[in-house]
Amino acid sequence: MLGEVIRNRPEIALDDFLPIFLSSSLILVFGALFVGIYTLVKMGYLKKIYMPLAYLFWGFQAYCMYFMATRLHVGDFVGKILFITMIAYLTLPHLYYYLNNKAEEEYEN
Amino acid sequence: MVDNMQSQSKQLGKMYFTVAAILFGAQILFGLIAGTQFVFSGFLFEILDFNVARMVHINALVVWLLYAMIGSVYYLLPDETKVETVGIGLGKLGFYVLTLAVTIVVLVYILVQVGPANEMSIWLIHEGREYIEAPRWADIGIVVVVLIFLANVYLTAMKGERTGIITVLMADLLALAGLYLAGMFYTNNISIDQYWWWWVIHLWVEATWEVFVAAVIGWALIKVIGANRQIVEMWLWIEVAMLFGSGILGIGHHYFWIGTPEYWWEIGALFSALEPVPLVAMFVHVMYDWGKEQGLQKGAGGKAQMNNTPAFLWFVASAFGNFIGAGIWGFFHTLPQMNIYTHGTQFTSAHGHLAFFGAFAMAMIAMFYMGVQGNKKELKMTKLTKYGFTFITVGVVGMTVALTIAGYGQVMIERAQFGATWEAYFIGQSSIWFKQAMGWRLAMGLVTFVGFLCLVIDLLTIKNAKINQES
Repeated sequence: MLGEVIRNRPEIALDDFLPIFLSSSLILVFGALFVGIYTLVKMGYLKKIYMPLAYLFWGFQAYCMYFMATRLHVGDFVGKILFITMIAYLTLPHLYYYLNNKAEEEYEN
Repeated sequence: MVDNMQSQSKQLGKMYFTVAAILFGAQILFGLIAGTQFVFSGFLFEILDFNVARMVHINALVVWLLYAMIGSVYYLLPDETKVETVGIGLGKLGFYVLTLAVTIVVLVYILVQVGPANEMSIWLIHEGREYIEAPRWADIGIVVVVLIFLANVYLTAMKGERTGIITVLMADLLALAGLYLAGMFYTNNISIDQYWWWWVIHLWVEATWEVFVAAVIGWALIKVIGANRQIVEMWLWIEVAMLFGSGILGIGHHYFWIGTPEYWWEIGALFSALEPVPLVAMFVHVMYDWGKEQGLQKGAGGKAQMNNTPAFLWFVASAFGNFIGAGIWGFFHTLPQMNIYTHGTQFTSAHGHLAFFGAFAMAMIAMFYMGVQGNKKELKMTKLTKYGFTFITVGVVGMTVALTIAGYGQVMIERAQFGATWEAYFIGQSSIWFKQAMGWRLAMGLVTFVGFLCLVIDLLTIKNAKINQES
């Protein structure tokens, strides 16, 4: 009975469950570290030398997303969507900071 | 201009806050009962069964947050519009009608509990729709009360100033009120019923409530740390656009398993994946504004403005809690490939506990402190503020971790290994991972309750605390 059931659940390997949960959590943890360090550098609380560290965390995040997507067998379409999501994570803080500066300039003038 | 000392709108807001705090206590109490029943299954058997305790627990959550939200709007309305709320008498009538209705509904849940599966049960006992189980008569009453509330907000805004925050709230509250109607009509088909039910639950929580909290936090940032209104409102509009985009189409991730067309798999996956993005924006928003305003004040030789540290503590924690609870705990089981294993397990419960707490409960507790502050120039943290915050936060995070471990046990044993059969359910439920986690969940629930007691005592006494008299 047990053997039959296991053969009927082929989508995700049993050993992959824990790595999937961990990698999906790390996606957002690394994402938070990326935007956190990026923001602190831009605000002047951290030296500019730490900025590459922010991008390194984005790299870890992107790898975790890739790792999770392959273990989940998400398929081409969702894979592309997740890729676009990662690009959005990379560009959003830049857009955010740019708009914030522009708004402040307008306010001060 | 309205005199804040005499503002009846603020008084009405505080009345809503008071009932919200009482219902928050009821939510924790009934959660403790349900949690105890997981560990000691005979506890209150046939007196207050698990289904009833759970029903009161989750409905109290929704209702206390709604109370706190309505209270928040009444509280901030005179500040933003610069006039007294129009139709305050009707507003008070609405408050008493709603409170009476909620009391009767809860008493019926506890004393009557169940009825025959016919129209009578739907009209008089409950509708059986998780989170919004109010019987039909109370549904109609809620709609009337919300219409009074909406009329008050709109008429006041039309009479006074309409800031960006008020404009966002006007649009948001209209959507919030209108969506409730989607959960009111009855169909015999459970898939169709679930479809419309999600329109209330998801679109409330992940669209309108998120926008609401962003507006309230924006208002509070201006009040507490003197944040620049232009910048706060600009980000509020961007958050509105992003939250409505990801929130509305992200609803697809609830459609995976109710028989809707398969394109929802892709739409749900895409926009669910994008849902954490606005949450990250909000997180950066709070951090950036806080740092910037502090820096500006200090740079000008002054002292950083911070006139309500307890509220600010809860607001900042809310930004983080929103990201962790709704973002991390939501994301790691939202894709359909994973959700097929996690759906309906304690994973969902773990996500629900931390997301509701982080995104909404923390922000509304912060609003309680704004209400307590009133016109007092400064409110500082007391020991009880710190105890309340620490116990509640540690308790909820502890419950979340315990439920995650229980959920992981369910996913592995009940779903992946044994194939989600009825027998597998019992094997999963009796596993050591599940049982021990439920014990820890109960312990952490008790910690949360201790924190709640500290919070209530603090709210009642902080205004007269020595530390505030000195400041």
